[in-house]
Amino acid sequence: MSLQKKIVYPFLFILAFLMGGAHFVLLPWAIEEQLEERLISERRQLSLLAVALEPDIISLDLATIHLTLKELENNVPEWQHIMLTNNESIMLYPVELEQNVFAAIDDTSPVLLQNLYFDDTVIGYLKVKLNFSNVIRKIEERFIFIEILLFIIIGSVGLLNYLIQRFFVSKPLEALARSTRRISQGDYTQQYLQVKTRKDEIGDFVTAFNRMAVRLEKREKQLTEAAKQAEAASLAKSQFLAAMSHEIRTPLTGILGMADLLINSNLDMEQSSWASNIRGSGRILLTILNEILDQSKLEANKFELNPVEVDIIDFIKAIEQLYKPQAQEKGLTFQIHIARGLPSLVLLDDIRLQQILTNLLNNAVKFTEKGGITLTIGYSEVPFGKQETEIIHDKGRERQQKQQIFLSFSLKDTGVGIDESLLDHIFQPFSQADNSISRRYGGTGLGLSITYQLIALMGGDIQIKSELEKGTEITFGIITTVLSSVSQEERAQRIEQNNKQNLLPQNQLSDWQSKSSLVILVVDDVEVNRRLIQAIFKKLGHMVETAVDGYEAVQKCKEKTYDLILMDIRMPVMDGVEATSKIRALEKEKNKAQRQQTSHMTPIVAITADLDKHQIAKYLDAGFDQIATKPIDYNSLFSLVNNALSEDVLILHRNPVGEIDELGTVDSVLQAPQANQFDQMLEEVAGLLREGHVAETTQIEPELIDSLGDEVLLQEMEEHFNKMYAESCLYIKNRLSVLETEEKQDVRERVISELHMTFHSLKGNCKSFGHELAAELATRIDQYLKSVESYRDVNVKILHNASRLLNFLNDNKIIRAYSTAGKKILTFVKIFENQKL
Amino acid sequence: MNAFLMLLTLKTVSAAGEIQQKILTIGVVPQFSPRELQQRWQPILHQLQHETGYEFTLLASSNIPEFEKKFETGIFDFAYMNPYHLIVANRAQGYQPLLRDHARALFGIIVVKQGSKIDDILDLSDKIVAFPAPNALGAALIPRTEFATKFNISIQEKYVKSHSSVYLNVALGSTDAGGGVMRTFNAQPAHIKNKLKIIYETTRVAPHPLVVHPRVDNSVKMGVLQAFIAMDKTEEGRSLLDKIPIKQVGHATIEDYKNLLDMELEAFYVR
Repeated sequence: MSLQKKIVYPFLFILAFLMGGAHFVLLPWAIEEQLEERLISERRQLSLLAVALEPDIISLDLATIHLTLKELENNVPEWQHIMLTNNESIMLYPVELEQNVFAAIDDTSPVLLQNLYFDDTVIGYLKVKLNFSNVIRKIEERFIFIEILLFIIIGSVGLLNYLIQRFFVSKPLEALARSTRRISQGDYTQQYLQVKTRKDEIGDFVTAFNRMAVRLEKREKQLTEAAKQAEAASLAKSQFLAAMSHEIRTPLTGILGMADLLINSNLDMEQSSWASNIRGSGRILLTILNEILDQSKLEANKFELNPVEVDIIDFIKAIEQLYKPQAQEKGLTFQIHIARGLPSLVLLDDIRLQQILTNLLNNAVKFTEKGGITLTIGYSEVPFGKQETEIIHDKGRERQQKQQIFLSFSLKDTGVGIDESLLDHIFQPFSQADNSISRRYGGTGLGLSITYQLIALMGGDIQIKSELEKGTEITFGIITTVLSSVSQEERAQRIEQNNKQNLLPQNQLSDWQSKSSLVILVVDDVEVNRRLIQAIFKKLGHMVETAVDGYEAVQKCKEKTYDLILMDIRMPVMDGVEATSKIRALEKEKNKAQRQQTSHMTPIVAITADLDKHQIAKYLDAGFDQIATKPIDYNSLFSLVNNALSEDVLILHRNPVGEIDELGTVDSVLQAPQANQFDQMLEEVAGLLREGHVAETTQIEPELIDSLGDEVLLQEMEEHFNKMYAESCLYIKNRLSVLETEEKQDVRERVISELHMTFHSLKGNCKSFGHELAAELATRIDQYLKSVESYRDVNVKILHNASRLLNFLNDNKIIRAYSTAGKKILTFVKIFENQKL
Repeated sequence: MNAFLMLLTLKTVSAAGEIQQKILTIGVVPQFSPRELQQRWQPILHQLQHETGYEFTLLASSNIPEFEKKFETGIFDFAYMNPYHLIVANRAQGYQPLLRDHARALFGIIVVKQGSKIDDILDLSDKIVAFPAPNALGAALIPRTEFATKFNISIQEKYVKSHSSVYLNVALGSTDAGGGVMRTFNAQPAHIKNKLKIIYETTRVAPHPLVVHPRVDNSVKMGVLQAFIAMDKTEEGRSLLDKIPIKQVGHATIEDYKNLLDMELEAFYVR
């Protein structure tokens, strides 16, 4: 109840009480009192009338009597009816009387009786019916007047009270409440100043309030200022980081490119290994830089997603290809479950989704020592709230009937788990989190933070559940637009195709050939980059000229026509965009002058380190045909160049399997496998793997697929084999370590016989599951152990080397002999045979 | 010569009469209040003066006894009075009627209550009969005289002061019968008249005369008579005469009141 009501209601109550009392108690009392008085007075008058009428009765002067009584009836309203009878009961007045006039007797109309005398003899009777309704009415009127007066007086006092209270208390309080609300919303312009001068409690209160508001405002300004400064500092930091990353990336590109060239030059194994290390470290550094750059962009809200059409099945398959070997290498199972009916063609930023999954899977693999990793992909309808925002976001764009789904990923591992206390901080960037995490586990500590923010950008969220020593389950979902749903059969077909495609190993620079020789202009201000690109294309047999900036490039184009120009964007003097537009203008003029029907345009490919999707249009407008990104991946660069040339000038050329002998020289094969040579070979292969060479990981023979036909069964068998394979490797290693310390001949022989059995069974299994290299190795060892007369004569060193190689193959998931690494190993294994070990 | 003398004498007398009777006095029975009498009579006197050239003055009497005393001593030259007074005045001073209302006759009525068993005067014997006053000519004097002399019955008289009282007493049953005149009876409100029944009308007599004292010259008498007749003929005069009231002016002689004289009213007149 408001203060006003609290004050007004008692007044109304008192008013009602007083008026009720006046009306229902005082009024009847007053009426009764008045009627009694009137009755006495009427009785007195009646007796006087009787005395006056006595002579006329005696003289029977009825005319006078009638005149008098009629006069009384007419002029005295209280005397309603008068009746005069003589002592013989003859009515003398009036002439006619209505019946029952005197019958009804109540308070308001009493009947009076009066005897008329003459010398103590009754000579007549006077009867008067009085009517006091007028009297009562008059009293009532008077009372109503008094009541109205009472109402007006108390009402005005109440109203006055209300107004005073409203003006002096309620209004200031309401205004104060408004001010408080405004202030709580941060609007300090609405201080309550109005009754400052008032010298009452409210005035004091207002003064205190205003003082408080002023202080609050000051404090908030300070806080806002502090927050702004902090924000500015953070922004400056982000910008600095971004700038630094960019600056570091440019030379790093050079380093990586040069390392690539170095590896592809004629190096001995040691040198090749060092170069591989340079490249491997450089790539790690690049990853870290990319993370820092991503984080900076995310912090500055400058991060933009680039959704493209993605076949989700392909995408997942690629993820599997990347992580299954890693997991298996550690003896972990790696399973992917895909929900039935998952639409295959969706719109999403595959690069960023891969980044997310890579981050999570890296961790899963890193922190899991036993058990396995399961990735489950499902989908559901977009949660209501999220869909809303998405639709609003979608406004203005063309609104086709695109269905949106919530694509969910659940990653479960059986790893070390995460302490509960750390779960809250796990997705926060390094700057705010307990940096003990990054100290303990290495890395920038940005990965999960970026992951978290990327998922948020994609309209989803991430949850993490974990228990120490038991494992971790991370679930996240993103909103994607379905472009088309593909049937189960189509999906199966695609998976098969994928498998076949993925049989193709990653291409080496040496795998590429040129169909014709081109004259190429490379424009870059950074010498390392110029030299790198120059080296790549020279290696493929092209003529390469260079220019240090856009201006020089334009000058060169004036003098000469090139088949292809590779142009950096950011350069001093004249940047790539300007140079390209100038070159295009030049060509137009030239074409005009020569009046050629078909205009000749030199294909220009931009090479840039920071590709912003807003700038793509700008670049294409300027006249670029294609845009390639740094660091240079020649596979993609070559396909872009092919596109720009509208002709596949650069084509992939691969050595057919079986032509292994081309690689290893006869001399080297004939050399005895010395310990250092073995070590060198392993080092070399490891270097290749570190560089990013992917060894063949598919282990199944095509015939086996056909004969089994059942993918699920196949997968189960494969998993079983992998387990057995890993166990065998470990077993062999253990047994050999026993031999090292064991002196007893009979025990040694028994161990060797166990090893023989293991190698023998491994031979068959590896063959059936397509482990070409391991099968080859096992076959050689089996043959060797068979060839010895006694296990006593066995060269344990050979077994040691075989074990090392076997474990190496298992660890690196090297299965077949298609890649450089595979070929190298196969060559080495063949030495065993030649040496008849 | 004789005729000349006659004419001369006549003229002389008339001249002397003119001088002697320069102011003529008129008395009126106080049937109304003096003020009302003045209002009713003054315009008539004014008219008479205009017609005859004589001067008239109204001599007021506060009550009937005073009026009676005045005409018995012959103070009035002319007087308007009731027929009974004419008898007394004629006997005392020789007043002669000069004119009267020829349209009406004066008579009394006897009323009883409607539904009463009394149908005949004879039924009234020993009954209470209300009268306005003992000497009221039509309402009391003539009936009382006739009850005694003509019907030989005795009644209990009750004098109730006014005609209205008579009718009320009869209507309410306070008295058995009552005496009144037609004019007052008709003036009663309907609810009272409806309760009454007229059972008897008395002998009719000539109404109030304007009497003249014998000392007044014949020519003056004739002049006054002519003036009244003239008044009766004009509309203006008629309205004045209605107030007296006289409906139709006509010459009156003592002979007109012969039956009244025969009634011997004096025996019943209360002094």
